[in-house]
Amino acid sequence: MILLNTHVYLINAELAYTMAVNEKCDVYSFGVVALETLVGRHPKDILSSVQSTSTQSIKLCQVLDQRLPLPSKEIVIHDIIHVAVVAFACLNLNPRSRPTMKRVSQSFATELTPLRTPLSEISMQQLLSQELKALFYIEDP
Amino acid sequence: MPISLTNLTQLVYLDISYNFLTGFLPSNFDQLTELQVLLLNSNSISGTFPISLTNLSQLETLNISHNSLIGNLPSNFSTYYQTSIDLSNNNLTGTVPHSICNNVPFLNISYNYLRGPIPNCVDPYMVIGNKDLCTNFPYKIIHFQFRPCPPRKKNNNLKKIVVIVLPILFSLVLAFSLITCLNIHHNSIKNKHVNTTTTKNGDLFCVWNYDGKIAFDDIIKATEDFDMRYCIGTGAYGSIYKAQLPSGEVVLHGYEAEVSSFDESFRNEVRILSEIKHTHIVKLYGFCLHKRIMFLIYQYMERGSLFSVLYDDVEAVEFKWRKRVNTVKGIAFALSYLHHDCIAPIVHRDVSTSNILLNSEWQASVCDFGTARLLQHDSSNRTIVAGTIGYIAPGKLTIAFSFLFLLCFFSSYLYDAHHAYS
Repeated sequence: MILLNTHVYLINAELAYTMAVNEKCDVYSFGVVALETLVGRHPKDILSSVQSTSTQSIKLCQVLDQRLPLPSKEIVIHDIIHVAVVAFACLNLNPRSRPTMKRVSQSFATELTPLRTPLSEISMQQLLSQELKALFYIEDP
Repeated sequence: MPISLTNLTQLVYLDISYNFLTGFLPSNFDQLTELQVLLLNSNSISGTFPISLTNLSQLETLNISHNSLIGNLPSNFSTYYQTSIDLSNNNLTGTVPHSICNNVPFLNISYNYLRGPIPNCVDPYMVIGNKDLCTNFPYKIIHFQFRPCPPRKKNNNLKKIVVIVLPILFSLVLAFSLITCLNIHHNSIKNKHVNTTTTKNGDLFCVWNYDGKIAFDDIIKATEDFDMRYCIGTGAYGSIYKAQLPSGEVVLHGYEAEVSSFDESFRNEVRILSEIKHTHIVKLYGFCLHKRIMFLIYQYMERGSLFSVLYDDVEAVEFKWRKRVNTVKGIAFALSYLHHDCIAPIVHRDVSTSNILLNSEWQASVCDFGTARLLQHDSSNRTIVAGTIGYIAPGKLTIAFSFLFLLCFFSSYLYDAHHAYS
């Protein structure tokens, strides 16, 4: 019976802030589409294991669409990292922690100084880090 | 308003706007024969528009906007030859009389409760905000949110025209055939025919002289009555056809009619797409809503969906990094516009790679607003889950799974209990 009660509680908690239709559902879907565009296939394996430590050590260049040669231009690398950081921010399991689309579009519209980190050194962990989110202006104030 | 006011027969200019005047307008306004400017706007004047006001021959400016006038517009505007009349933001009802085409150069009757067809001469900005006005111009329907006129009326008009014109034509032709020789008669008919076809056009991209019937005929001709050869895919509610019209390429999304849920999705799509405009949102050129046939007309996106591009090895290689980044940015701008820049925020609810289309320049457009929602801030927006599995935010799915889990748990619990007691 204890288990049953927890479940009832869980359902209520879920209902409390996710059943309502709000913009944050679109934000999550946008994150999936953005990631899929970089990866070249549906990123279900990444989505299911994004929190685990083994996945976080994987480098971004390992998951990028293998059918395309890795980008060489600094600005293109910067843009790809930008999209990846935005995508992961949008995929946050807590709807309230996802950025708004306004924030995302402002982040994309802002001219940023190119990141000097080589693509091969960017790991999933870094993409989820606060520093990169702050660098791309996607943390809501 | 004091009735004695109308005793000031030499009055030329009267401005009592922005007050708290209530009550009806005096019926004997025609005594103010010298009146040139009458400003009564932003008061709380009620009652109907007095017919006596139409008899002021010197009147140049009449403003009774932002009041509570009720009743119909006067059918006779004949004396307002050089007058500007502003009756916007009142509670006027009834239809827009055709006589205003001839007599009133500037008549603002926006934001009232007028209904019926809009006379062709009327500037749509002057009648905006009358939700029940209708027009047959898709451009006006889309940009000014008027209703499409019911086709039945048009048929009636057509019938009337046919009833009147046909016997006259018939008798004329008879007379001609008797008097003139057959050759001249034949040529005249030919000329007539050419003249009638050039006066109207069915160009979807052009508003001037637009005729929906010609556009419809063009579409039927271009797709050979929705032949399967022109089908380029299937959507959730029907097939998608490509049509090469005289004015350019378009895509038609046919709906299987007579199913209510399809009908709802169709209306939802039209309602939302006609209210919004963005570079990265697919353009709806028009629609056809009929008992037997329903379809939407969109701009043609050469590359197809983002899904088809990503899962085709040849196209995926062509889809370089820079293009991919721009695609993602485009989608972000479109969603930001929907969420934050529309009067009522719009939630798409089915953002997936299948609903992103790419044109020949790899420019992305968001499409399929069949499940989209206009959010109302006051009401709760609880609803059933919509979207594509794999793109739905996890919270929503968990609810569905939690319910399933609960159901399983309950059934096993009941099963055990049943066995314990039996």
